[in-house]
Amino acid sequence: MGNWNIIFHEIYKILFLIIPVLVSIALIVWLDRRVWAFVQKRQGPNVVGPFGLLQTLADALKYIFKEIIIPSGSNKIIFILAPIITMTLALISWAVIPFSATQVLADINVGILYIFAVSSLSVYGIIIGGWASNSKYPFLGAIRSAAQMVSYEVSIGIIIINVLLCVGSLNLNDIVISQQNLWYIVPLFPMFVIFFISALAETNRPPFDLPEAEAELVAGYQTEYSGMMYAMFWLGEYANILLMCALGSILFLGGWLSPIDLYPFNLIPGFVWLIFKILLLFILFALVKATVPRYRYDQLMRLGWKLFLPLSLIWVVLTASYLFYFNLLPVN
Amino acid sequence: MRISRFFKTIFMLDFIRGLLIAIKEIFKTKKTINYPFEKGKISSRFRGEHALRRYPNGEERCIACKLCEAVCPAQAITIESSEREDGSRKTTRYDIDMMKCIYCGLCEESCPVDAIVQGPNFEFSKETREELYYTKEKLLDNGDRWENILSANIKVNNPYR
Amino acid sequence: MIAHSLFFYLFATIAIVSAIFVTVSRNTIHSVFFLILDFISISCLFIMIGAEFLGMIMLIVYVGAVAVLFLFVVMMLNVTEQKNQWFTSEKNSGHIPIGLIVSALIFFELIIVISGWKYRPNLFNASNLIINETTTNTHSLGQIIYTDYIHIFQLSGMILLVSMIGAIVLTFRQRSGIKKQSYIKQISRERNEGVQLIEVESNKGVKIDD
Repeated sequence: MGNWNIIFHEIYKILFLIIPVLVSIALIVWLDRRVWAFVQKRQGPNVVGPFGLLQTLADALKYIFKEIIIPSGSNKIIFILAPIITMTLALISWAVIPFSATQVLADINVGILYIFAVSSLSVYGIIIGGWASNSKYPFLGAIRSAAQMVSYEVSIGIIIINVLLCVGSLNLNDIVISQQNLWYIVPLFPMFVIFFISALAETNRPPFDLPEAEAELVAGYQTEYSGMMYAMFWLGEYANILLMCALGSILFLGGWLSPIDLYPFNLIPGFVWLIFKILLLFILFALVKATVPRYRYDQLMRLGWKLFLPLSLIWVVLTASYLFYFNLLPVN
Repeated sequence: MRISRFFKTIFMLDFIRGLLIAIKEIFKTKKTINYPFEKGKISSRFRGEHALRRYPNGEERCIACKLCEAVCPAQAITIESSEREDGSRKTTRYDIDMMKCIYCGLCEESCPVDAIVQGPNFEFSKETREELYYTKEKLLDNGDRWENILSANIKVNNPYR
Repeated sequence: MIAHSLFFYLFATIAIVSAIFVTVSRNTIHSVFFLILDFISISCLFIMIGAEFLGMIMLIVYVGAVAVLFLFVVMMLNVTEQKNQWFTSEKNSGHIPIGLIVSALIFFELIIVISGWKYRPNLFNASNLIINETTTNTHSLGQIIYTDYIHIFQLSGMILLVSMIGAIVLTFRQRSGIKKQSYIKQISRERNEGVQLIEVESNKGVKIDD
């Protein structure tokens, strides 16, 4: 009986994490569209529910009732597997995100590496989907996204090394706690900017949405998908965006810590601060989508390899030598 | 010059300026309207859904001269006519295929008695094609329904035609 | 404990079966997918024995980067399904016997190495096997690599760097006489360099760039 209790307890905890994440994805899609519309002086979705908050729910319902079309030339098993992989990988990385000192599903030692590994796996959903469609545009989109995501993972990895040099631990909770005196956005501000731009490229957001650039590739790797399978790609994409926002706020903005360690702010629970920071970063994501025109592919590659990689490497050397010279290295 | 450009690139000043403009735009008034609940102003010459008008005493205006049928560039109008008991020539059939119609307004211009007109209604989409084959009854019904606006529009545009 | 060994056998079976399928499957892309599955199950095995850092690095490096490049190359080459498969080919392909001999040799070498290591009498009371429970896997790995084996570690890094530069040098060719864009030139254009506002009087033209 004891074993079953443990299993039910774990399932309860997982549901308690995943359902809020899914709901917040729905809300974040609404926010994205709304901010985008407001910058363009449009109204945005405002009919379904109060302020149009339930618009995404209506869209999801529409997707559920639509027919799933599987192209006859496609590799069927892999074609169906692709959106499942995308969505699963986007959701499992939330397991290690700490919402407060104790509210974390799996407090593992190598949390940041886990997130990094899972986000590097999420390329496969796109490549597999693009290849299995057996069609030109998805294939081109898949090839593009493979090269793009692998290149920007390199710079994200080196930026993470920057933070880890200051922390001395791979545990996400340790990273948050070590920012109690000073958020890393202050000493590592250039790295924060590069992390933000790399996160845009990593999640295929505009201005780096080349895998699904509608002017060139129809819809990229999603061209042949329809119905719920398309919706799963879309959910996975937004879950990844939210995850990148969460990672950015944990690495640079102090995660669940309150900005000032004073009386009224202390009472607010940690997860509220984390959600607040994620929202802040996400609004920046949406604003960038609304302002910046799309990059050309060679410009994107140049930015990743010739600018971000050397810059972040130089910053690693600077951080390491500063910490070493002033004897601040977190050695235990 | 070069140095200022260098600083602009390094600190992404152009990007930040664009972002600030975007933030400013958020708080300005919206240029779009909330369509199904608000509607834009429609000109008195708007060419929308067709209608057949009647005289104030209830007699239908159309005299079956078939000018509209002749002028219709899309050949969307079909008219059949016969003599009525009182000796006047009236239509027995007046059909408009609304899917053929290109809403050019030539039928309205050619009509000598202001019988066929295009009203202000543009929300008449249907789910089947059959519902868009407008018969005489439907057109007369439209005329009765929109008569106030139609006659007002004709009065406004009278000096120019 | 039973669950642990069950999971071990699950991952081990997946690893071996997918490794077999890598060589057997006709479609090249399928075999790359099986290779990925193999990498993932091996990294799961690493995590199960407590080497979480190694497992994650395995995922990041092999699955996230190397296998993506494999897939990339295989997709780009557009390799269709292979007609000849192992022993069912009409022609006698020459490389199968050689391959079999090489694999048999490697297999015997592995057996010799493993048996020699397994039956070493003083393996488990060797002095280098002090496990410190307080430090994490990552810390202890770093403390060994960056102290005892620093030169070898740096040397392997240098070899990788040299091979990377070599590949770039071999494939890089500079063509002369072609038009190229200069990003710096494009970005550094100011508005007042490109745009000129001229007041034009009526009935009089204006000369530009004379």
